[in-house]
Amino acid sequence: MSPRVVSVVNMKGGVGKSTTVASLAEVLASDGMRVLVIDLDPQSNVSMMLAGQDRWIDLRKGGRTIDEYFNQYVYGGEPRFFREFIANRVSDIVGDPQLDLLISTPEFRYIERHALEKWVSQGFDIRQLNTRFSRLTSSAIENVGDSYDLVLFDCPPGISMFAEAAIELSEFIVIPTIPDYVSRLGIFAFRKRALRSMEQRRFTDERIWTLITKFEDHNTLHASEAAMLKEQFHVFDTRIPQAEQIARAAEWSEQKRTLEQKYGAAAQVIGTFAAEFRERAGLI
Amino acid sequence: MIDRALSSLFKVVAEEAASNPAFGKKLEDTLAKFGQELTEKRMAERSIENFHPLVEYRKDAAGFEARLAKFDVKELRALVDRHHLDPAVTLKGKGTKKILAAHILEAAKKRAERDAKLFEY
Repeated sequence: MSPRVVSVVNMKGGVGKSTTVASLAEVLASDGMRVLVIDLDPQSNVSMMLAGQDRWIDLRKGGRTIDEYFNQYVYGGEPRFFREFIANRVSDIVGDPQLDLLISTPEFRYIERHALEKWVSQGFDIRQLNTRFSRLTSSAIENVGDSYDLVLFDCPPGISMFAEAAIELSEFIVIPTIPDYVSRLGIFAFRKRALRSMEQRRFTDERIWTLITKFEDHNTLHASEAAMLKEQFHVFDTRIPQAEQIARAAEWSEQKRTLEQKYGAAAQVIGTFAAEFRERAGLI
Repeated sequence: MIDRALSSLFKVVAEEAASNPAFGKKLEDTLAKFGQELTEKRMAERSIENFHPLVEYRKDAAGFEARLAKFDVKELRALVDRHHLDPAVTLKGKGTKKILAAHILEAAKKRAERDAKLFEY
């Protein structure tokens, strides 16, 4: 059975994309789901959050990174299967959940540039390049598809060729958004691109979901903007609050911990969001 | 530290209010006025809680003005504050019912037009 493929994306940075991916993946994997997270962001935040710094360094040294995976197509070399790049059972959550990860590194930002230079010099136009990136990403997922129930892409801010490929492959798109004016602009900037990709596959905008993040209960601007978002887009009922514990949870722990120990009082709302996500994505 | 300082301060005020009727009365009047204003403000905020002018305008632009007319001045002012409809503070927290309603109508209309353009981004 093919896994559900979901991209978490927003043109704007700092809205909680990586935090959303990490927490969602951890809750679902703790629930028994087989989850693969693919980090497409050279900032490597979700890689560090899920694998911890030491394992991230080991994986990087061992060449098990997303940049190395794409490198073989750009520069050639001994071909390796996609599954060889994946780090198994990362995360510091107790119970050893099946949460696997393909890490990103800061070098990943060069791959796209080099690939573009090389393939453009070979006569490919931008449309063909797009198709090529999509095919590479798609065949990667096919290679591991039977091992997972859910593949989550953590996309970088802005739109890279890799993010485009992930979007074209995704059945659902989650757009984390802080309920304020600038963040809302980020959705508009990206929505049209996402919608086009959905419509090409005869999907509708009902598969593009906005998740309100960093919500502050007593902030009237947040309340006003959240109502507006709900009117204009498909929005999750669950709102992720601005919480110190969520920010703290980003730092990997040497000692395994429960979701409650990791996320504190916010564990409940994260659990509610994961349940809502499961229902919307048909992952029951 | 601050808790002890405040306790001492309130003790002095309470003793003075008990022994000085004029001071006590002045204190009562001030608290009553503040309490009344706060109650009215909270009541206005509560009654507009489920009315988002920009959402309501999008739903039914033609009937929007009539729905606005049901609110009193305090409620209209609360709408302006809550939804940041006077970013340049031209109303200066004042305005009659008519002025406030016209201002909200104009703001909702402009916002709807701006957002429609954003969907074509």
